[in-house]
Formats: sequence, structure tokens, C-alpha cells
Amino acid sequence: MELLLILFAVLLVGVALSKVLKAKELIDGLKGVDEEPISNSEIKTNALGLLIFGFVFFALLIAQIVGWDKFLLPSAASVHGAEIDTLMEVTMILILSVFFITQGLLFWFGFKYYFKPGVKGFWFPHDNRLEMAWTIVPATVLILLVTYGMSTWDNIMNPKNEPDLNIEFVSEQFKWTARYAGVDQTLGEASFALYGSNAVGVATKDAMIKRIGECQLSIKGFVADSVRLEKLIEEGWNKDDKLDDVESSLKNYRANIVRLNRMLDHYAKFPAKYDAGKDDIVINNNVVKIPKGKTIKFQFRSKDVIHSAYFPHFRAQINSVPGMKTEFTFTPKETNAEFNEKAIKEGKVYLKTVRDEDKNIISQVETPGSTGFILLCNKICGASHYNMKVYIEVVEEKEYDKWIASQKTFE
Amino acid sequence: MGGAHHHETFISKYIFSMDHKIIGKQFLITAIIMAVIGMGMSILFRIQLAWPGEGFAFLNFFLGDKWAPEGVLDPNMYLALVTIHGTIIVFFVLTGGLSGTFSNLLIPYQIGARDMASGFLNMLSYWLFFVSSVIMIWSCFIETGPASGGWTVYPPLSALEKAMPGSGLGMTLWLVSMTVFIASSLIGSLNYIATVINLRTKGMTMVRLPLTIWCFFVTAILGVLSFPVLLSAALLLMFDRMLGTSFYLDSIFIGGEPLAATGGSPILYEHLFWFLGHPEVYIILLPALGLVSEVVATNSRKPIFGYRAMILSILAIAFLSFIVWGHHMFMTGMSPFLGTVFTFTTLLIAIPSAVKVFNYLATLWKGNLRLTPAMLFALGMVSLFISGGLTGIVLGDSALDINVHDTYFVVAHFHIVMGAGAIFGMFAGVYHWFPRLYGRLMISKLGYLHFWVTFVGVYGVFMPMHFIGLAGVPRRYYSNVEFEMFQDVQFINPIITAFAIASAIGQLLFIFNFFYCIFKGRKSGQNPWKSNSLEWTAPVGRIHGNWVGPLPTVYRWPYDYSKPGYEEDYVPQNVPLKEGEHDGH
Repeated sequence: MELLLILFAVLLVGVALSKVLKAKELIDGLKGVDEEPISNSEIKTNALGLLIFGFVFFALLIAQIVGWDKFLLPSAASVHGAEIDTLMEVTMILILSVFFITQGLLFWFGFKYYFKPGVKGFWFPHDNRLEMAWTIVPATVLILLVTYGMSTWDNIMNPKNEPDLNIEFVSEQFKWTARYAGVDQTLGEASFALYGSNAVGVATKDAMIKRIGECQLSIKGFVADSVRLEKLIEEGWNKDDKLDDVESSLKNYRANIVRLNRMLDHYAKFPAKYDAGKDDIVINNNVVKIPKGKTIKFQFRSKDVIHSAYFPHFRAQINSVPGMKTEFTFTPKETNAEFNEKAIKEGKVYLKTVRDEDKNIISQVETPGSTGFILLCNKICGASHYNMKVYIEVVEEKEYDKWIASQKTFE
Repeated sequence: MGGAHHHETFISKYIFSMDHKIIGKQFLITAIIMAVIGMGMSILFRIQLAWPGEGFAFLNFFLGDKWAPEGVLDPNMYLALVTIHGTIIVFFVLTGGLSGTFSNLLIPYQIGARDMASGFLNMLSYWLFFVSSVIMIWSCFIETGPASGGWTVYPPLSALEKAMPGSGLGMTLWLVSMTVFIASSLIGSLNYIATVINLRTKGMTMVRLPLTIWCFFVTAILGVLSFPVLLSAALLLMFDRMLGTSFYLDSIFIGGEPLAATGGSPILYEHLFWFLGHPEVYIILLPALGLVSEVVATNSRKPIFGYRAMILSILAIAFLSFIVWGHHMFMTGMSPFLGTVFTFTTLLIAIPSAVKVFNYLATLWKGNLRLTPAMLFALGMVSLFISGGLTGIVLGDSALDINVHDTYFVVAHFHIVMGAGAIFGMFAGVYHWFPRLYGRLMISKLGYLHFWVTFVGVYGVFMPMHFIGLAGVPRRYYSNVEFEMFQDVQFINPIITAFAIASAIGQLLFIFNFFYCIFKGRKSGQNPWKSNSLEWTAPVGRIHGNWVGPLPTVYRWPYDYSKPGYEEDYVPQNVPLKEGEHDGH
């Protein structure tokens, strides 16, 4: 109803407008307005408009840059992140200068050279020296910038140090599960064939045997289902779709048993690879702790669709892709408490939000500091994509050692 | 056939027409309808982003109880709207609509041809476009909702029906629609290329072509080389969905089951997609730049500065656009060395782009600017091209991309440069060539108002969005307040939504102006903008074959504005050179 009223109002406005224009047309016809499609006064008004727009635009942009800085991320909490921050500063200064100069000229020319009757434009079809200049200058600046950027990228993505700590994340709709490499600092073999009760699919011998049992049980159930459905179909029920589903499940589980048996054969040849998983530690509660000052390699696998791990405070991001292992190595340089102090020093704020039991916001207070480190999903992955979080706590080494020692190992 | 009329029925004249002018209008009007739908969708999801979780009766009105219970947008529908908004605007408005309208209208007129090389293929191209539009819209009305995996529809999300409701029938229809669309685009492009190469009138050498034609020509070549790759990507995805292949699937555990299909790679899809996807940016942008070049030169009453440099820039951009696709994939886990290579090639593109901007500024310098609505939109496009191009330097640099990839910074960047930028080019084109389309002028006062509302609106929406991105907020989030760290920038979202709604309403000015003036606009005369190019030498009105009598002969380039030695400030291309005069560039 509302909508119909709105549509009706729009229609009325349209009709009224057309009548006014018609009247104006008639009056113009009587007055004998000049034949030019655009009048000089219109041009003048809009020229002035360009100038005013330019000023307001610049003023608002500067106000945002200055006024909203406190909401942006604090400076990086990782060693490589500092390099990114410097590169970003250099790039920003450069592009903002070019922005203000070229936009300034655009709006200024738009105002200054507006149409005056009887004047001709300046005949200036080309100038080789000018064109040379504004090809070579941007080219030089960009080559310098790109060289700087490429070397930074290379340093970050090809770290020279071996990691002190290996941690793996498995992404799925809609959560992350972490696995620490344990005392041996080696992540044991894992496979999607073992997912199920085994959250990240660690492939120890026992786990594989257990999984084969589970799959056989499932197959038994599906075989029974298919017999039942076939009977119903014979009786004329329309259950073809259901039967297709059951058959595809059977195919999936049978293939999985073949896969698991092959893995067991492989285990017989290379047991160490698989046994390394026994002391791995699976963390399922969305809070991971890491020690400050150590080089840490995060590895990623995905169960279902592509996800992306984005942990902005460390200036780090990498996709998590099914069928692939990806990784990002970084060194946290501040604990949560130190990071918060730094954020306060840099004038950063966050909105301290208090919610009641129904998650309704009760109060929000602008508070100096930062909310702490987080790892979130940054590749569209389904309905709850917007709510996949892991809290990262950077702690002193001693505290980390104590914490990790208190966690349960896989076997 | 010059000017000879054969018998035309209503159907052969307006529906299954083979006349380039009618086909251009058909593309334009279809694009306007699609743009209204696409823009409307953006308003629906912008409301959720500004006021997450609050109920609005009219969301319920549009989407019903299933997708907006109690007026609160469903998360799956949010993703569906984002996906279809992107698909419609990128492909149906800015690829099909922009090239379809102006390549059809301007190529025969500006090169002095009676029509396209193949009228039949041209008609086929439009009708395939129409069918694909209908399928895409239809997919919004099915029970499980339309495709929802983002406009890039990355598998496995888009390949697995169990991953989300939108990956069911909606995704199948998306793929069918895109396949038909690609066929339309290829047929159209081949026709444009053939026409430009073969049907130029006497004297119309390649270096006397208006820059519009250069842009359309290069765009068509880009399309022919890149769209088939998207077609193969789409077909393989269809096979994965329907025939049980696994081109893009490996090690997947979904719905509690490990899938038997293994051995593929989702990254393969991304490579194929972006091999089209990046040239696609220039398939959208180049026609807009072409229209803007013509509008700026005509209304500055000055030759376009550095005509040959402009052509070289277009060619350089076109070539480079094929070797930069990897910058969309810096974070996929592909080899870091590839990241280095793509960073290098990507930043190279900034050089010809910078040359183009400086050349536009030099064209304006000491001009005599007739600030028509078309001219304002052209200036607006240059402004947007600068703003969006510069943030591209941040995103194209792989090291910086680590922290802004897939955040709102990217959303702001590409909406400014290829969304709004190309739309502004299209508006400039419609205002400028309306007299050529309908023999009438659009109402200038409404045009000016439309420009200012849109220009303020676009910057009001997308400038603040950069800051949300720099605060680390990811794109495609149904709600930005689930993380406490993003609460502090949430206040920006209602501001953005308010500007979006205002500029959406502002578009009514254009729609009214356009349809009203088709019938009631002031008569324009043959050459209202005192322009040099050939389309303005043809008589007003729709004549089969465009010119009565012989085709015009071309003696000069199209930018002899304010040429010394002439009293008028323009010299049309069909005016013979005076004795001792050089063709001036």
C-alpha cells in the first residue's frame, strides 16, 4: 500500500512537472528565446558549480582524513607489517598529491574556461615535449614505486627464517579450527577422508581405522535406504530424487574407504609422517594463543568452499582453498596489552559495546585503545560469512608455554 | 540502397529490426530497465548494511516473508542481491548496454556507412542479449533464490548445491543466462570489428577515425579474445554441477560427506574467470572513455590533445589488460613470484592511463567550454577516472593488497572507476547523442540537476567507503557489527545509504527527461553541438541507409575545432581542405 502511494506520488510529480515544462515551452515560444540548445547563463551557473564543488569536495575529504584517522587500524602488530605501513604511507602521499593537483586543475579549468560567445578555443592539437614529459615522469615514479613494492612483497612472502611454530587452521562453513604441531613441531598428515568426529582430519593409524568403521556403518545404512526406496518406487511412489541422493552418498563413502585403505598402505611405508599427528593439539574454542617475538607459520586448509583468513592487525591475509595448502608466516611483535597501549598512544579508539542477553546493544562508549587481535573470513562462503571469528592472543613466551602444556594432545 | 525504403511493418521496423539505429535504441532501453533493477537491489541491501537487523515494511513488500521475514533481510537473500546487482550492472548495463547502444548507433554514422556489416547478426546480438536478460531476471523469482556466490561465482561455493540455496537452480540459470549473453557479445563484437575495418567511407583512414570508434573497435577486439575464456570457465562449471566432473573440485567434505569427485582446482576457475574479468574492466571503461573524448573535444571547442598519443594509450591499455588478471588473485596462495610479475604489469597500466588524464586536462586548458549536461558528465567521468585510478595503485601493489584485499576499499575503488565512471560516460553519451537518436533535445535544466545529484551522490557514497575499508571491514558481510572492532565505523554506513537513496531517486530526473523528450523535447536541428564528426552531417530522423544520396567523403580528422583560418570554430570532416591547408594533427 505504502508503495502504491509512493508510486502514485511520483506519477503526480511527473505529470505536474510535464505541465510546468509545457507552459514554459509556450512562454519561451512567445518570447522567442534564442535557438542555442544551452543558454550562456546556464553555462555560467554550472561553471561556478564546478568550482564550489571542488572546494567542498576537497574540504570534506581532508576532514575525513583527519577526523576519521582514529577509527582506522593501529600501526602493525607484526614485524613485516611495519614495512607494509611505510610503503602505504609513501603510496598515500604520492596518490593524494596527484589527486589534489589533477582534480584541482580539472575543476579550475572547468570554471575558468567556461564558454564566452565570440571566443575561439586555443589551437593546440599536440606537443611532443609535453607528452614525452607526462609519459616519462609517471613511468619513472611508478617504476620506483613498483620496485619498492615488489621487494617488500618478496620479503613478506618468502621469509628467510624457518618458523619457530607451526599452526594449522581448517576452515569450514562457518568456523575455524586450529591445530598446533605439538612437541615435535611437525604437523602430522591429515586428509578430508577423516573429517567427521575428527574435526581437522588428523590421519593417525587409529583414526584411519576408526574412520573406515564409521564409513562402513554409513554404507550399511544407505544400502538399507536404497532397498527401501527401490521398493517404494516399484509401488509407484515418486522417490527417484531420493534414490539418486542415496546412490551418490554410497558412491562417496565407497570411494572414501578406498582412499583410506590406500592411506593405510602408505602408512605402512612412511609411518613417521602419520605418527607425527599423535602429539598435535586441536583447538576448537575460537581462541588461539601465540608467543610474542617468535616466527609463526599459519597454514590453511579448507573443508568445503574457499574461505580467506584475514588478520588485519598483523597485515596478513591468505585464502583457504579446498585441495590446497596455503600459508602465511609472520612475527608478532607486541602482546595484546602492549598493542593496546600503542593504540592509545596513536590516538585510536573503538566503541566499547555492551549487549544484553538478546544481543541488543545497551550502551556504546568511545574508548581509547583497540579491541585486540582477530582472524576473520574474507572470502564469500555462504550465509554466515559475516560471522567467522577467531581471537588471537599474543602472550609472553612463558605464558604461552604454560598454556600449550595444559592442552590435550590428539592421541 | 541509399535512402530507398522497402516495405516495413511495425514488427520489422521496431521489434525484429536490422537497422543499427533501432537496435541501438533497443539496447539502450533494455539497459535502462536493467540499470533500474540493479540499482534498486543495491538500495535493498544498503538498508540492511546501514541499519542491520531492523525491520522495514517495504523490504517485506518487495521480498516477501521468505526472504525478508518481518522486514529484516535474510542473509542468503543479501548475498543473492549483492550477486545479481553486480552481474546486472557489470554485464547487462555496462557491457551489453554501453557497447550495444553506442557501438551500434555511432559506428556506422561516424565512419560513414549505411549500416552494420551484417544487419541480421546485429539483430541476433540484441535478441540474444534480451533473452539472457530475461533469464537472469527470471532466476530471481525461483524458490531457492538466484545465484548468491558473488558476481564472480567462485566454485566450490557455486558448484555445490549443498553450500547455499543460491547454488541450486538459481546458479544453473545464471550460467545459462551468461552463456547466451556471451554469444550475444561475441556476435556483436565480430560485427563491430568487421564494420570498422570494411565499411569506412572514402577518405576515412584509421587516423581520421574519431576516438569513440577507436575505443569501440579495440573494445570489440578485447571482447572477442576474452569472452570465450569465460564461456569455457562457465561450461566447465556446468559440467561440475551437472555431469559429476571435477574440474574445480578437490578434497571436499560437505553435508557430512566426503565427495568422491577429486583432482580439480578452484584456482583454475579463478584464472579462467579473471582472464576475462580484467579485460572486462576495460571492455566497460574504454567505450566510456571514447564517448568522453568526443564530448570533451566538441564542447571544449578545441582539438583533443595528443590524438595519436590517445590511440597509443588505448592500444597499450588493451594489450596490458590481458596480462594483469593475476592481481585479483594475490591472496589465493598462488606462487608469490607470480604476484611479483602481476604487480609489475598492473602498475604499468597506470602509465597510459595517466597520459589519458593529462591529455584531457590539456584539452580543457584554454578551451571555450560549453558546459552542457553531457560535458558535465564527461568532466565528472574524468574526475572519477582519476579518483578510482589512483586507488588502483594501492590495490595493484601486491604488498599493500595484503591488507586491503576484499575490503570495502576495493568496493569503493571499482565502483568509482568502472561503475560510476562508466555510467557517467554513458550519461554523457545519452545527453550528447539524444538529438541524433530522436531529433530532439533533452531538457537541459533537468539534465544539470540530474548531474549534480548524481555527482554529489556518487562521491557521497564511495569516498567515505574507502575509510571503512582502511579500518579493515571485509566486503560482502551481511552485517558489519558482529565484530566489536568494526562498531566504530558503523556510523558511516547510514551516511552512505542516505546518499545512495538520494542519488537513486535522482535518477528519476533522467528517466523522466529521457522518455518525455522522446516525444515532447525541443526540436534539435541537424547539428546542435556544432560538431565535426559525420553523424551530424546526416539528416535528422531515421532514414534507412543514413544519408540521402551518396555517402559523405572525408577530408580531415574529426577534431578541427577553432582551427586558425576558419571563421566558425568547427570544420566538419566532409569539408575539403583549403589550398595549402594541412590535415591538422
